[in-house]
Amino acid sequence: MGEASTSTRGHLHIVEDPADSAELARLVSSLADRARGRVVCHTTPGCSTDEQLASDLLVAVGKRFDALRFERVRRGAWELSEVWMVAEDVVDLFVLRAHALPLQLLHALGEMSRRNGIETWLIDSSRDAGAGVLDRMRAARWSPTRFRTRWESARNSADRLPRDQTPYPELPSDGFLTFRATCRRLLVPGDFDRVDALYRESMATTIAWLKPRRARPRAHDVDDSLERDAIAAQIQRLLSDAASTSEALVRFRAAQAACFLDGWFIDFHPTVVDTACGMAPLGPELCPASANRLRRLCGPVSTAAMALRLATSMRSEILCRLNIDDLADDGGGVTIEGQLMAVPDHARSLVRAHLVARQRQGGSGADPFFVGGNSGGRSNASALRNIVRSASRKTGLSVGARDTVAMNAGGWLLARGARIHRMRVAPAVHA
Amino acid sequence: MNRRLISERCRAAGTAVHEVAKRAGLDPIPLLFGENPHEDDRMPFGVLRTLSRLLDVSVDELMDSDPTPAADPADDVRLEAALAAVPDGLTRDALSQGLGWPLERVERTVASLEARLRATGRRIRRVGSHAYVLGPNLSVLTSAERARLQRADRKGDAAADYRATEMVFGIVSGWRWEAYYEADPDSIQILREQCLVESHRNQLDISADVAFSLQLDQPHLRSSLTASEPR
Repeated sequence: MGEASTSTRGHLHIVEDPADSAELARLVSSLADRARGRVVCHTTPGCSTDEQLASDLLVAVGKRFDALRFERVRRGAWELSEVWMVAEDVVDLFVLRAHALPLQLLHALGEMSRRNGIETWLIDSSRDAGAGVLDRMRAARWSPTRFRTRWESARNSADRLPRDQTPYPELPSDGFLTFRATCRRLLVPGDFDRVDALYRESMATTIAWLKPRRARPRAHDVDDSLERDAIAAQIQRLLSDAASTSEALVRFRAAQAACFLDGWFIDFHPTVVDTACGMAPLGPELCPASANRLRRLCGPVSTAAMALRLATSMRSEILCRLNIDDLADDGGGVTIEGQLMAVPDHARSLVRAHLVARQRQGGSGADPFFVGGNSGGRSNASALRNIVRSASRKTGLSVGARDTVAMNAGGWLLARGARIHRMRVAPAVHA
Repeated sequence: MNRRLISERCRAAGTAVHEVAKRAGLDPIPLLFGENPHEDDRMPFGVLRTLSRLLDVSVDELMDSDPTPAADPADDVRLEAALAAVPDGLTRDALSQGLGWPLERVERTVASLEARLRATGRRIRRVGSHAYVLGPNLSVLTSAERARLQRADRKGDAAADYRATEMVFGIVSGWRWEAYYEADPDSIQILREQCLVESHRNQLDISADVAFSLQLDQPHLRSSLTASEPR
């Protein structure tokens, strides 16, 4: 985000509200929308140190109010808050009752804004607004009326939620050969339209992915394990953004249909999931609700390790081998054993935070993603396992009683009870 | 017929049972001592109505089979659970031994459960001599519904069967399905019963459901894939 400091962003704005209007405070509070990069910081009365302000900023991005103490973060609180501001793609930061902050903290906020391209809005509610400490700062000045004009439409904007939150309909238990037809028969029309739109989209995505691979020459005795891993990774990417088990099933059935037409049979039987034996549900283990619980933690190592574990089902031995360049810049993907696996959109900031932290430590390229111990060398599996368990206890998110079996994308699919079989070579079906 | 109630009402009215029987036009002996429910069932309704007026009870109360005590509501729930646990049914003796009840209590509870289930989708069927099984109350379903339910039940998840799926794949891909039929006619038959394949003009093709689910129901996609020509 360093390059943002040279952009047109990263300015300070001061909203002068000498009336200390409750209406303005309500407007500012209502602007909080993490999906759109807007966070609101409610400063604690008497906030006078950078650690205290850092704690307030961390709360603004979704952390526990006592996260620093709870996770025993002893130093670097301010840097930590900046890491999370960057990881969460904060575009606008609103600070209520900013007039009560000491000048040095206001300058620190200004520096952070400039470095990271964050528009920071300081709400000056003092009676002598315009003549207090904020007056000494170089910033654009806004009257309450002008501010309301600027932001009122944002408060009333529709679809604040990132996706349709209505519950997904109950689905038939048919296999993929008749799934869509049975949905049409058994679901009410509105529900079927919703399911079918997703089914067609998922099938089209999978067919498009398979198409260039179909042109490759293929001999009957070729070891198909690499291809199976690639298919498994594609299915993981397809399912990663599913918000529910039902939605995941629709995507999966569509993928099965598309792969079938290409000569692959993905054998899958929904069973009772036994997480004690390393099995995982087909549905999202890192759904939006789980991501929000994980977001309450402030330690980037914890959130990244837990998010990657839930998104990919990989064993700690695999995760500790990750290098920095195995991670996508936005935290939305990770390459494992040569296959790209996805981290859902709503959770990528949880991985990105640690990526930002590592980069600020000077890490890059083939440097380890997870470091540990006094030497700062690559973390070992045991340490990573402990980090995941600790995060699991603190958030109440389960990772199963045992480490999972997944060593690669194929293992991810196996952990969900699905197996890929090659059927006999056939001509292409979809042009 | 509730003879105990009849005796009680006669005593309360200060009259004898045979007097009541005479006024109702009945033979007093069966009224006093009769235990044949079929005889009671054949009693004319007019006589029952006269009897009910003489005794100041309702016809229902008159015809409720005795005796006290009425089955404990918890008993018929337990009996229902016991019968549900053994789908093949249980004899009265087995129920008596299993639940630790005297035979009379079993009988009483069976009657109580029968009455409770009358308005539900299940009923107790008497099979053999003093044996009971819990089964569906098919009278609440139409014959069309029953037929559709049977067809739906037969349709399983053939995709679970690798061989069956490969057969469907072969048909989709235009392979010579006759070779499959010669080698494994039973599997073809199963695919037909599971509505995954169907015959058109002596040719085997995927069913409309499969075509729709695989999005092969669009003519421009399907035209090159029919299994009409042997390979």
